[in-house]
Amino acid sequence: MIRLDDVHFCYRQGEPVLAGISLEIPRGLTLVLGPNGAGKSTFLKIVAGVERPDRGIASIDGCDLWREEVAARQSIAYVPEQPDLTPYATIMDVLKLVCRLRRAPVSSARAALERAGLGQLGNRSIRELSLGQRRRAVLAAAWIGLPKVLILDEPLEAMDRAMRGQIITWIERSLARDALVLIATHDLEPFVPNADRALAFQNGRSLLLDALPADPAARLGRLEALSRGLPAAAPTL
Amino acid sequence: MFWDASGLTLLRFHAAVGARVALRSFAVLFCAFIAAIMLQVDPAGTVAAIALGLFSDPPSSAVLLMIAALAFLLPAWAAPRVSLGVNGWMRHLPLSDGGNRRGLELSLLIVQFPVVLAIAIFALVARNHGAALGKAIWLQLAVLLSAGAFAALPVRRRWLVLPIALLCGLAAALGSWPAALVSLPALVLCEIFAGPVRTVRRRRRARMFFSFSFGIAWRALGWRLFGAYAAAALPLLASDLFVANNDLRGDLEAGAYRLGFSIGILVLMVILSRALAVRRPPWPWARSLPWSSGRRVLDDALVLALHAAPLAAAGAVVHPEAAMAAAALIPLLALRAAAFMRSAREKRAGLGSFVAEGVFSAGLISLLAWTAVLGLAAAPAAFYGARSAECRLKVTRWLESHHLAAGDTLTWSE
Repeated sequence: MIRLDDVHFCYRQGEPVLAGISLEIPRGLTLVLGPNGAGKSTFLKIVAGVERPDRGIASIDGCDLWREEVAARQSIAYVPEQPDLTPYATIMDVLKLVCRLRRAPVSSARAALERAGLGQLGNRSIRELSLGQRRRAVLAAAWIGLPKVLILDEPLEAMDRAMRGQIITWIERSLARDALVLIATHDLEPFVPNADRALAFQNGRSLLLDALPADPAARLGRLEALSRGLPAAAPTL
Repeated sequence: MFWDASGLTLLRFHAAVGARVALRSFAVLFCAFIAAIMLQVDPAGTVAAIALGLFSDPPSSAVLLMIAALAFLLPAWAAPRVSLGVNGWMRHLPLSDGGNRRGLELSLLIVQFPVVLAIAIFALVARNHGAALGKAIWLQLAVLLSAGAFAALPVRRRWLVLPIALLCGLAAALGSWPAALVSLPALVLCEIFAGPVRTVRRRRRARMFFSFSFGIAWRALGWRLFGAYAAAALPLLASDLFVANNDLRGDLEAGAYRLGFSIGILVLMVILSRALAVRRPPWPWARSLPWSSGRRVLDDALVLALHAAPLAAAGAVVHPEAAMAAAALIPLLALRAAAFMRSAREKRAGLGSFVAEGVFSAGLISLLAWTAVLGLAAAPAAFYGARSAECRLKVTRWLESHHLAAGDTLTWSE
């Protein structure tokens, strides 16, 4: 379970991106929605342990991300929108590092690379790859081990159709083994059938919608409305 | 009672473990020693010079430091090996925490057998050359070896034992026999307050992470390393020329060297940390991986400290004591540089405050050599400061000085 307790965050003083967010996200698929610049990616960075809240506590399965750093991050797989792997190591070096950190056999790095269609590119630096290949490399890192918390920022962006199918299958399999999946996306349709709840952001406010309509069309309509922005009178968390 | 039959059996067991580990290191050290001696123009003369240096009055600091390095490194290497299983299956046997610990201490002392053998050979050589083998040097050596064993002891209160053992070792290596004598009660206190043995994991994972960080830093620095070393060599050369062209003796000479060496180390760290801060900006995605902010800070500090070590070694050739004092500043400077690397891009002064801190520290140890110990003592606080800077860093915030205006976050302007 992801738990945020009175989390505040801003990039510039006086311009809060998240203002006093408190929420609990249980296992299952949660879609993170909102218009551009609403704070979706920042929220994902906070729960992935990339950014530290200015105030408040973010924890995963009871472990504070900034007090029990290693334990809290042990089960996280984070796929950012910007695939920012270091340009000074090869893709294979990075994947081997992830294997060791997640205590997975080093051979799984090669398997993940093959699965991501980068089998021949393991000895390249990320600078030598296209945007789609860079995103595949970060996905390959997420496939190592059996992470229980998947934090995916626009996972289908820049992916070809085959890879999109592979990503959706991976998410479905992860949900089947009771993982917690957070997806920030504007591309709703592929995830609507599996979504358990939605979390919408706008102007530092958030709304967690726990019960989605069962009817697929109504469900999609509700999610689309949330992705355009929170209604003015929506209750906030 | 520890000294009963079961206690002695435990000691024998640990002694055997220590002896086996010592044998593993013996062959390597023996070959390295023979190779180093045979490469000298006069091998026999070199051995005699070392032996006479060790058993002269006062003993040569350089030889004692060499022995100190081995006395500390051998047990540190052996500790994870000899302590394997101490907290596992053996815990169900009727043994006390104290008994376990004392057994481990014995095994870490026995691990130093190759050093003891070398000392015995030097003693024989020195005696053949007519040197008197005074009692004081034996006391110093005994304290040095014991301090080395204590420093590697994996115990609950290692935070207490390690600094005391290091200070005792330093006192025995650089001080005279009274300093070594005073160190003995300190080591006894270590034994009393050390607490139960903790299992040490072999640092494969840590080594792997460090080699990864080191590789990245190495590639990011590239040819800039040569420029950094050339610039850092200038203060060293300047201090040497200053001493050669002025009639300086004793403390004045040492002070000049201390200033030159520490400024050289500072120059190197400033150049390297600036290059790393710009060319290898913080890596946001890596912060989601299961490693700690402390580990990332420590990796950066180690990269800087390892690059500064050759400078200190070069200084030791010219003036060992001044180089030791300057080397004591390395941990503090490396950790402060790691902290400034994280905040420099958000400050108008950039690394300016780090330069000011470094010049102040260098000036201080130049005037008062003993303040180098304060530098060492301040290292833990510097570590926490750097860790806090790493946690506070808003790593994904857009900063013009880092990211190229074209918008590619993997390309940056200098």
